[in-house]
Amino acid sequence: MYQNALEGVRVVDFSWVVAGPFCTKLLGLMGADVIKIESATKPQYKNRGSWFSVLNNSKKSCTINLSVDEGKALVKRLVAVSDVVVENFSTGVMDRLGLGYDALRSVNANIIYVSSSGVGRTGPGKNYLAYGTLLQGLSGWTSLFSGPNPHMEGMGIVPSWTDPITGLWEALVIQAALLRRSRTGEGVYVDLSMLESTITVMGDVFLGVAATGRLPVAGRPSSYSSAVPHGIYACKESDSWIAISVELQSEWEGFCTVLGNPSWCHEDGMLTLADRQRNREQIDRRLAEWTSQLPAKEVFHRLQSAGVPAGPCYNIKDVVEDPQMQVRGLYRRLPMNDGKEKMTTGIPWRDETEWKGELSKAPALGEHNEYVFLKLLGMSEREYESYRSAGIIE
Amino acid sequence: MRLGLLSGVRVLEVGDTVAVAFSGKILADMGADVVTVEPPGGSCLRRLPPYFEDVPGPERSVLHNWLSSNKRSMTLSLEKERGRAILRELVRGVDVLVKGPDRGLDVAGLKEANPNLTVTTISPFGTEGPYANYRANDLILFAMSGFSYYLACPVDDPASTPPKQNPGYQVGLVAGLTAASATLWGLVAAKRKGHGVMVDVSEWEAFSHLLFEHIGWLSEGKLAPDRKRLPGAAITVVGGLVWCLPCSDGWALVSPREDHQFKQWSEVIGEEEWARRPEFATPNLRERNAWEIYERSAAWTKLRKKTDVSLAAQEKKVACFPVSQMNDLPKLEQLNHRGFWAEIDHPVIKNLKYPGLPVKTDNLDALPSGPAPTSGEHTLAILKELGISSEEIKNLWQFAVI
Repeated sequence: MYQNALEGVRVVDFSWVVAGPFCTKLLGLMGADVIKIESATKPQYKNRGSWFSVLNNSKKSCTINLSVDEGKALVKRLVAVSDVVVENFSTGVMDRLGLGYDALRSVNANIIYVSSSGVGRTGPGKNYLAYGTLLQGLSGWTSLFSGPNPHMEGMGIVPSWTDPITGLWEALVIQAALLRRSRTGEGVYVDLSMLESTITVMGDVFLGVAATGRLPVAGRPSSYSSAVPHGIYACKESDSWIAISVELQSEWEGFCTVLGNPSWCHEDGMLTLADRQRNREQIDRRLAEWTSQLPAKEVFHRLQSAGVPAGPCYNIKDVVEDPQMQVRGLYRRLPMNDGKEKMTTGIPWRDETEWKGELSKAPALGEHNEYVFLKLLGMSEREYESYRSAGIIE
Repeated sequence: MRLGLLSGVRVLEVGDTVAVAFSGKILADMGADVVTVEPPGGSCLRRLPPYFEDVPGPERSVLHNWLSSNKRSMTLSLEKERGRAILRELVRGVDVLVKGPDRGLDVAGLKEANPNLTVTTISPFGTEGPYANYRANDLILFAMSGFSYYLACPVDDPASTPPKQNPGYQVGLVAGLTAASATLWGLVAAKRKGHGVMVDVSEWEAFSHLLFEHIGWLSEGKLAPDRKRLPGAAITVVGGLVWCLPCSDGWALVSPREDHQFKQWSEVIGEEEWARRPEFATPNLRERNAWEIYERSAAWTKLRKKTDVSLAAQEKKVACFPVSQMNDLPKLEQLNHRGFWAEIDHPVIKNLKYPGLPVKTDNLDALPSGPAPTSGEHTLAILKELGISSEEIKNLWQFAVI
């Protein structure tokens, strides 16, 4: 299948929690052979609830005791037949295990080694302990929604933002490094910062502050300031809202038509965009009266049919059930070992076919030990059993 | 900063959306040769705020300078047949076309000119389906992705607390990032297929894709039925408790989520006896008693500066950082030490730091970033690369094709 673009690429995946797994899932969806290095004795690997099954599809799991030399030697054997290593431990952990870039390059000269961390592996903060959530605060992301408050209400602490963004960057950098390796034959060491990943996708907002000296007003977008109306309006049902943005003259005309051409739409202060910018509050008030009498989905389709940008404020159930999203096919249900189905995501793009990635359920702990040790490393059954009984393969 | 990861990859960019431009920018920053095709008169991105010193004018859009640095620019009227013919010539020499939703482009003709061409189309909702022709910007797509809703969840009073609006072009930027990945996928897939592939990126899908936690909860029936805060609820994100604590000069976020971290935090703030209190013994119990922990922690932090609180916590291996404003970022020593900020030499925009690529590599030389090209700066050179004569170029100029 041509879509499995990373077929033949093996990824040794030490990453855990969110950012790294988000990345390696994308690689798995593109056909890479992703092998999670886990432990059957450490509690953090046993927690496989909720979002674990969303972030760890299309991967294999093996369990190795990394606290003993024989376990580390097994990792090196695996790296020798692999292409990429991904890790997101605290700074220094991989070096202390003897599995840092230099050590693994000595067993595979062309390895691509991606080390992801909170603020980077160099600099005065390199040893800081970080979580994506907290970096959302350090990066300035939380300052864009509301002032800090003890309840963290509306602050941008939720939803998780830094972690999935980092995962996207990480997958992209690995794809680029693989392309370079196919051209030059050389591997590379990549030091990826979660903080920097976050700031770069806020580049427009940051540059607005840097260029003008003005801080953004929390909760007010820095873009599209010229559109009127432009905002979120309450609809008829409980806690139901619609986003509407009208900028072009053709959009304004469509907007007026949908509203039934009320007389206020054609008054002097409404004819041009510049007029409407002066009368923003009046338009907002009249629009809110109109939306409050209608269901959000009706407003959405009526405005869009007239060429007016509009969209309901969805929750995730709305997103999943939306007919357009069903055409995109992002959300998939997969049968689990217990017979129940769980929902997960496919690759976030399409080609001309129905393909959404090489999708399989998240692995159970150590589910692929035999594949890894017998098939990939070529162990005999006897050798495998002796490693198991010695607790090196857990 | 420019890395040499994608040397040899040739990209043509047609379209004036932030998503298209950011996708091309990432590929250019990674070393691809990216030519952006603008209409005569220049892309409308050149007129987008923010402006240098807050003054609009030619070459003053800092957003455009950031999004277009490291690219080459040519102007071409795609409304004219000769312009479209030159575009067909151009695609013969590239691997990828990254484009916006413009339906006027003759993609079939371009694929005929170069059967190996991979075409990445970035549109709000995707190229097919009931919303294929719907219009949207970041406000709309941010709302439809679920982010507006969940950024204001939980709240005390949903009826009086609207969902949050987008801060800027985050949907466009995330879609551009996703499209860069999709494009590199397309390049390899095309080689395997034997001819170019069509990559269809929906900005809405790319952004919705980030909400992984909520898919897990929905799947397990654990999704909260509404936005109303449960009495006393604390905030848990990806499995860990977080507190936002007042300091003498702002706020700090701390997350001593694991048992040993909580013990360390209690030592930082002088509450060593917490280790013996059964109601704080496990993460679940601490979540139940989160407000007592908040009150005692805040009594300590509010007497101290946010950076001092963070450093004291980090010394004890507890994750803690100050809450920043955007203008704090250039002062962060960590970012400066790592050379994160790109300096772009530009004839008008001076002394500005731009966010760079979030990576450092040990064995790949980083090259300095070039400024965004002026509109059509490379038209002549690119036409000559195509072998078009000076006479013909004069002709194209006269008839406003370039």
